[in-house]
Amino acid sequence: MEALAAEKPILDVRSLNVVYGETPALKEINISFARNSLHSIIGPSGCGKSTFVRCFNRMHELQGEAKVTGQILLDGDDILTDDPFSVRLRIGMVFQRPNPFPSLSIADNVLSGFLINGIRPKKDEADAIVETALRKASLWDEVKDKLKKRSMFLSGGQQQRLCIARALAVEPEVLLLDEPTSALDPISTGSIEELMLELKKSVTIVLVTHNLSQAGRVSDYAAFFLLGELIEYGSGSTFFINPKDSRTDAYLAGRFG
Amino acid sequence: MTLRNRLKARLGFNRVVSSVFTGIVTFFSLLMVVPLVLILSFITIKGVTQLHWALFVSDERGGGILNAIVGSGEMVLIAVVLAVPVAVLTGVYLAEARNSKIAEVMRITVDVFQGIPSIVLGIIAYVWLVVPLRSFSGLSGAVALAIMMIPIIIKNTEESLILVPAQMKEAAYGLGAPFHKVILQIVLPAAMSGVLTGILLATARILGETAPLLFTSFGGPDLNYNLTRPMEALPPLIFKYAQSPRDDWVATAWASSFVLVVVVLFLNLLTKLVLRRWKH
Ligand SMILES: Nc1ncnc2c1ncn2[C@@H]1O[C@H](COP(=O)(O)OP(=O)(O)O)[C@@H](O)[C@H]1O
Ligand SMILES: [Mg+2]
Repeated sequence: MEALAAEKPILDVRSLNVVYGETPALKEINISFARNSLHSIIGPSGCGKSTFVRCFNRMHELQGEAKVTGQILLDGDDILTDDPFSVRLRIGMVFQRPNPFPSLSIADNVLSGFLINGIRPKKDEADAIVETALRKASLWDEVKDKLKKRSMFLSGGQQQRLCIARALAVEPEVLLLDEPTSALDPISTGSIEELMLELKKSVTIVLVTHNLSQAGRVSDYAAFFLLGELIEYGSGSTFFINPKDSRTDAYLAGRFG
Repeated sequence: MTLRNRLKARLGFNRVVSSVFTGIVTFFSLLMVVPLVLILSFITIKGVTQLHWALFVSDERGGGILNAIVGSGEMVLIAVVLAVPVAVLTGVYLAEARNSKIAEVMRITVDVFQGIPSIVLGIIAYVWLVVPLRSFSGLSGAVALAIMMIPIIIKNTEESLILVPAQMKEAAYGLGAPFHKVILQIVLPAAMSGVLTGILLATARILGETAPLLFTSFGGPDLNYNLTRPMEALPPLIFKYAQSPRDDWVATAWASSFVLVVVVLFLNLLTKLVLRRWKH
């Protein structure tokens, strides 16, 4: 942990608490994330993983059920008090189920971060953004001939990569992925894992996953949550092989969760 | 300027437009509420002061409105009993037989039905019941009211059943469940809040109807529980009394309006309560 702090983290979470009505979902979370690396969040269902990542791009206030207190510093700015719209430009999110906009073409889906904010890029700009984002999401080769087609005709894995391209198009600093492969087949899952390995060179990724071997393959750092508490956080190489906390060990060994 | 910077620069403008939009939405919803609150408080103020015990214990001959309360109560109850089973089951049919030709025709019929003026329904009930039975009656009034309720309940039932996720039905069918079990134990309970809301809406609607009763239940000043004889109801009574030159009759009209509003409000609260119980 000390070593991490020295690197000047991109995200610094300080005594974060989340309460749904009366029920606490996250208790006193303190954690910081190093820049341009992949951080996976693991733990049994209901331990608060989604609740945690949804704090980062202010998704909770859309539902109005959760009360969030504490600080989350993104390069020193507290994103819990900043303007939510600019926070969401800096921190993109990809959800569990692929959710491309069904009425838009593939190209317009990629551009939707701009279009939906009232910015209409010029033709050459638009083409460049679409190609760059789709290449980053390793989808370009599969869809370059049908950019004007609707996204509904894509497979689940392709739709999810389209959602990643859509998030990347506005060049966020952080990308949140909440179980992005849990609805996908193994081949699509594999291609998204490869993609994450490539992406983390330029974007900080926070990945929620149920798939421990996936977490082991892609993580630089991993955090284990249990019943709303952060139990352990450390670099991937030691975390998965030699966890410090007996509860982490038990979870990794499949003894609960 | 790069596109991303244009996007950032745009946020301020978007925020302003967004707050203006929020403002407009809020303003018009409040504007909507103002006349409602005014009407309700007007009726309450005018009505409460005219309430007295004699209203509820004697019929019109005795200066009260008991005959109209009994009449409204009985006719609405019978109408609900007649309409609900037919309408809910028809709603189930329309929701389940999504693509059949028959359902399509029925759907159009129901829509047309909803647009028929209530006085016409009164005439229909007159021709069907009053003429053959050679007498105005509470029963024919109840039938006219039931015909009014049916399309409203069908529409609401159909729409709330459609919202039940197909996966839920598949889960039940996947266990080998028969159609009637799937509908009665899975689909209807899941859609219950919508179905009940439809029934309540329709009931509140007919509680305030005058026109369908004019040639059917007709009315009469005596307390009467017998559905085969003419019956008074609150809305026609209000209609009759409000036009009167006598101040005490106008006062009774206000008091009756208040009673009607309270009953509708009570029905609303009751449904909310039932639904809350249902959910937990
Ligand atoms: N909208 C909500 N209202 C109330 N409780 C919620 C809500 N969302 C999640 N919870 C509760 O908060 C806890 C954490 O949920 P979540 O963050 O979704 O867990 P995970 O993603 O790790 O499976 C769970 O106990 C869940 O029941
Ligand atoms: Mg989750």
